[in-house]
Amino acid sequence: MNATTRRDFLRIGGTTLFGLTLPDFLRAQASPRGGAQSPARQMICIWLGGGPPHRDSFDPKPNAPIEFRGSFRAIPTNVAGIQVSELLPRMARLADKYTIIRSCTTGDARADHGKDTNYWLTGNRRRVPQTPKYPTYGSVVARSRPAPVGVPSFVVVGGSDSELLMDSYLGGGYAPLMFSQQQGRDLQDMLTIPQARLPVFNQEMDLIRALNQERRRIDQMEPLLEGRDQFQQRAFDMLRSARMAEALDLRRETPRNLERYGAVGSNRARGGKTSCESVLIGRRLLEAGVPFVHLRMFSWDFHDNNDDGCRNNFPSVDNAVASLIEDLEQRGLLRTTIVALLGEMGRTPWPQGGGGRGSDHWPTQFVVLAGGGFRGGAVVGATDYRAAEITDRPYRVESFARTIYTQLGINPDHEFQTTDGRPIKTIIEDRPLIREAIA
Amino acid sequence: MRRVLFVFLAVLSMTVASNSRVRAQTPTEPLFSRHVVPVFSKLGCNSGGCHGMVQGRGGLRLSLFGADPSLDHERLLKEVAGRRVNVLEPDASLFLLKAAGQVPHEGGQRTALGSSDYQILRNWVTAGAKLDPVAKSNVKRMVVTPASQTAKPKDRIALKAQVEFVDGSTEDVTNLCFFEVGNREVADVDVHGNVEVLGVGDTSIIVRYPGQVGMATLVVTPAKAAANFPVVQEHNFIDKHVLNRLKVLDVHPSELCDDATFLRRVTLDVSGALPTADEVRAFLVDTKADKRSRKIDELLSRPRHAALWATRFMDILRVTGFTPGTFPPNTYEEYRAYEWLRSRLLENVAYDDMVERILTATSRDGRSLDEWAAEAAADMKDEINRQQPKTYSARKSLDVFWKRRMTTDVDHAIRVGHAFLGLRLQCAQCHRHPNDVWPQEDLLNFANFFMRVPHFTTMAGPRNKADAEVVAALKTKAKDLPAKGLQAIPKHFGDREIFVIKNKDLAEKTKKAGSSFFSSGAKSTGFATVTSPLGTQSSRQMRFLGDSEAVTANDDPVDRRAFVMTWMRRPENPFFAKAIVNRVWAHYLGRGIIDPPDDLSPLNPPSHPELLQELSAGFIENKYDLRWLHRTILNSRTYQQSSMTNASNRHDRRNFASFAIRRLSAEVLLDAYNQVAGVDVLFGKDRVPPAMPSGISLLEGASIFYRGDSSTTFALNTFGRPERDVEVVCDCERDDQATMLQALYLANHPQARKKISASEGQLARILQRHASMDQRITEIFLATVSRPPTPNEMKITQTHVQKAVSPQVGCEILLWSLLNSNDFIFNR
Repeated sequence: MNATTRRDFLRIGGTTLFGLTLPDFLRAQASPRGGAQSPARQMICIWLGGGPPHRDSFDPKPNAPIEFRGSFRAIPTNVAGIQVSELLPRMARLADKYTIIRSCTTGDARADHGKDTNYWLTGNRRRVPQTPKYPTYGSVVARSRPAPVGVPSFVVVGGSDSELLMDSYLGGGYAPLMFSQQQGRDLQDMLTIPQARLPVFNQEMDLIRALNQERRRIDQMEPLLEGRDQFQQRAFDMLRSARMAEALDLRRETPRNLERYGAVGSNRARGGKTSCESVLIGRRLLEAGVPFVHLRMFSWDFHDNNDDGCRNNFPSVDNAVASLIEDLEQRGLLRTTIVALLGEMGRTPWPQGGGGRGSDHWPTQFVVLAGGGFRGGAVVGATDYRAAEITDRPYRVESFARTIYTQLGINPDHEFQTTDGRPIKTIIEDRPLIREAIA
Repeated sequence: MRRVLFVFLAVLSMTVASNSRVRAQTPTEPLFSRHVVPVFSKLGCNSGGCHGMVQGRGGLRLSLFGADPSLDHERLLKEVAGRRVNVLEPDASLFLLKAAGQVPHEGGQRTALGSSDYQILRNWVTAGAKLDPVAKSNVKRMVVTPASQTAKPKDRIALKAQVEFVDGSTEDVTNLCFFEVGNREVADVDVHGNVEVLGVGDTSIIVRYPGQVGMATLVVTPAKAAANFPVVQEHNFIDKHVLNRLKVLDVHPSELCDDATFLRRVTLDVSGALPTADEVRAFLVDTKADKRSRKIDELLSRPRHAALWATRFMDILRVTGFTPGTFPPNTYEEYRAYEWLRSRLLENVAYDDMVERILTATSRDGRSLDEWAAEAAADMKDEINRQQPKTYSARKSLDVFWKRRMTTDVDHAIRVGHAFLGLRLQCAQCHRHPNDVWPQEDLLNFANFFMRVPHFTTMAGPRNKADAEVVAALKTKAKDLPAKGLQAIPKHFGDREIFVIKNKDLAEKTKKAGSSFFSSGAKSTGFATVTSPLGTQSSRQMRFLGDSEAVTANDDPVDRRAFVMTWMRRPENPFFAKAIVNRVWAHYLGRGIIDPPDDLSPLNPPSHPELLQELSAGFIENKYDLRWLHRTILNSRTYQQSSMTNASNRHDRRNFASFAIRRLSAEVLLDAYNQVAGVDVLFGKDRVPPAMPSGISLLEGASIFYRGDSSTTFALNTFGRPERDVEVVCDCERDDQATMLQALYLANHPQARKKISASEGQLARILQRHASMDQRITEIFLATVSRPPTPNEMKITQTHVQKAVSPQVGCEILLWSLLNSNDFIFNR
């Protein structure tokens, strides 16, 4: 009967939002961890939801016929033969740090925001309704890795795409800690014990510990209660260590840094402050040891005006992401941290809608991957003369997902049990890794 | 049962090792369908993770779990230039080389050269690798012997599996089956069905042969007879069954819990609230023998009991997913459903009647268009005036249940199966689940009862004359509504009416409404259809789950959902009464007699079949009276046991030898927190949603409106309130795990902190009313953990509280400590 007890124990005690668990042996048997030495230990996903125009950013076509060329020039980068859009001058100087994938796609000709977002963020295409909801990368990381001390396993900065990121067959225990705009302040306060309150907090902890001890003298060690006591202790430790609270506190950044990230100053764009700040918070969370950070920058569904949208959004992306890569590199974290920049689709490289100024959904797109064992200064795949069709090394989303998991040391073929007890593979379809992108 | 594939691997490694115990003969001329495909299944070749995947694996694609032998045969022989099967030189056949690990195989070595499995595959090749007439090999039935057995540790039992094919022939297929033990602490089984008994307890052993699943059950008693089983007083028949099993297993039950524990437990479990300090005091001094029963009766009549179960039924029925595409989602529809359910539970309507009024709901409830339109207009007025749905909750039937997405054909059959029968039919959409007995045909036949329930949609304006009449009637009745309400009629109110359509109109309606009408492929036929990556299936028959006879019905406008109701009301219905009895049991005892409680698959046997039988029969005999059911369970000794375990029952979960500790559910816990702090939901920044009375608790508001971004939403989500997603078909959506975020919330969320020291709160009142610190401490204990402190706790608390800068801070520290303690968060 021990197994049942253990399983119950595991269910109550073994899963948590903060990935924080009871002794690891309990779940070692079901752990999808791959080799001990994986290239990447952390990841930040910068999500450009809505479909950023690939032609106007990481797949420019300066020699295309005028009607497909777009309004922005292509500029050289610090890697010979690679060009990006003039809207990305700082990223151009960092091209030796990342790989641009131009040939990975959902293959969804209709380019549906909901379906494609789901596909990209989970690596699986959900074909049949009411089948289990696939987990996103952060939840799988939270489930697969031993929890870090004092910080959560998976944090989402900003509240978008929440349903998709929150719900999965792994259960609520592996959902992210989500910092939405409105909750931000409360959550930051939740993670902070102000200096002045520390003496009282210490008294509170003394009393609860004394009462718990007294209670335990009467009770036997009920595993469920024991498990909760451990969580509580770790929670108190986190409150006292203040690592999370500090990570979220942007007042600790210099004005110069806020400006570099585009969060203040002349380059502050519409909606840019929040987006740029999220990236900065993301870097601080990575530094604090959070294994997986997801955040969203802007909305990219430029049906009305493609060029204005690009002019508004890309400079902030350029500042924030370039600063992020520079800072991670400078702190020695880039080697072990994957930085992923992508959306769920690209856009038509010709005007469509918006009275000739808009652009429409298009399945060809870009993915940028830096750090975490990915190559620098590389381009994978190619598109035709007008950035419409993929002409070289076509990949599907599963390849992207499998490559990400492999770099993180997680076996993409690992079989999880869903909350209703069904076995299911992390990435269901078997597709090749994107080896050209791996260093 | 849960860990199918882990077990798979464990067993497979034994395949290689234990050939010596082969019992049955290896057929010399194996048939592809009867022998070869079963070996593929047994070795895992055609599982969903390997070649059974939709796109196959490593170039070879087999049908999932061997569902289509002809197709498998064709693929095996004709693809890759026939290299897979070599009739002239059998051992050089690629599929044999791969299976035996002679050449690199991603799936590893699955069987050994010379093993019986290998021999079957090889003999088939030698005999010409032919395809036999597959239809003859359909299995009529499977018999596993011994079907049930009582044994002692170290015993060995040889299971035997016999199948009868449709052509009348029978065969011993023991060696071709896949065996799996449910509880591996109790027994182990090898690939030949040899069971080795390990420990005391009970388990099922699932036996699978393609297209068929069988089961054997095993009870293991201690080697020595029980000596000193304690004498315990049975309260009712429940205890008889539970104690009988405990005696057999020689597991000793826990003591009866004390009065304070009982009061807190039963008040939380029945009414979702804490007892007040005064209630605790009164209960403790009551000396009458029947005080527990009286308390149970009193609690069952409280409005919060109805609120608690209305919330549970909202979880089970998942009344969400209205007017897709509108934002914000129409939560008022959820409120209608919640209030309707709460009203029925307050009235204590018989469960079967309540279900009938949900399952066969129509908008008009047999009234004229005029009468219904008047009601609909009054109901709309409630919504626009931001009032509780009092008109709606007085309605006869719950028609909003049918206004959700996914309310026709297969989708709804799955939902009805889950909500009212405790079945998980969703896997049958694509394939036969390896651990379940429902083929696609059963699901489709059941779905045909739910094909004719459209709700007319005027999102794009009325489609025909009848639709226009409805809109006109609504407009007339709703004349005195503000302009905004009138405008909404065609757009939102037009999709109000649920009715049963005639067969001849169905085709026309379907054609017009196109893809928006039916969720799956029923568009062209009007008959249940499923489409999955594995193909499209359709059926024209109507048949109840588990019945062998089809139902014929030509009498046109009859509501076929009523047939389902009649079937559910048959006393011998295997699921209907059991599903609710088992769910109520699980609510009080922490796990179902069948567990998980919403998985009444014949292959997931009850731990106490006689108990479930007697409880269900009693429930039916008492005219489906839910309060009878609650009362009977609550009065049992089994429910009133202590959560403190003894040496013999410490590890028991299956046999109800002690009370199962559990965390308070989201709404109950947060309401209890507010109750202790003496503040209401309106506290601080939080707002009660429009249409709800101020001061309403989360449980009474069903927590349905809190979907925005308030700290209440955050708290509800943190403690696992379910989304009630209409797509999810599992009770597991409500999450009762303990997490670290919860610990952080209770310890330091600003909203929670502020409530403790609220100037108008309970602590302020205690400080004002009681001068002595001892009294204050006692009051705080009574209010939070529903008992006075023990002398030791009093001493500890006094010492700590004295260190605080003021008595007020001292009391705050105590209140904080108790609200963060296990005694508060758990029901025990």
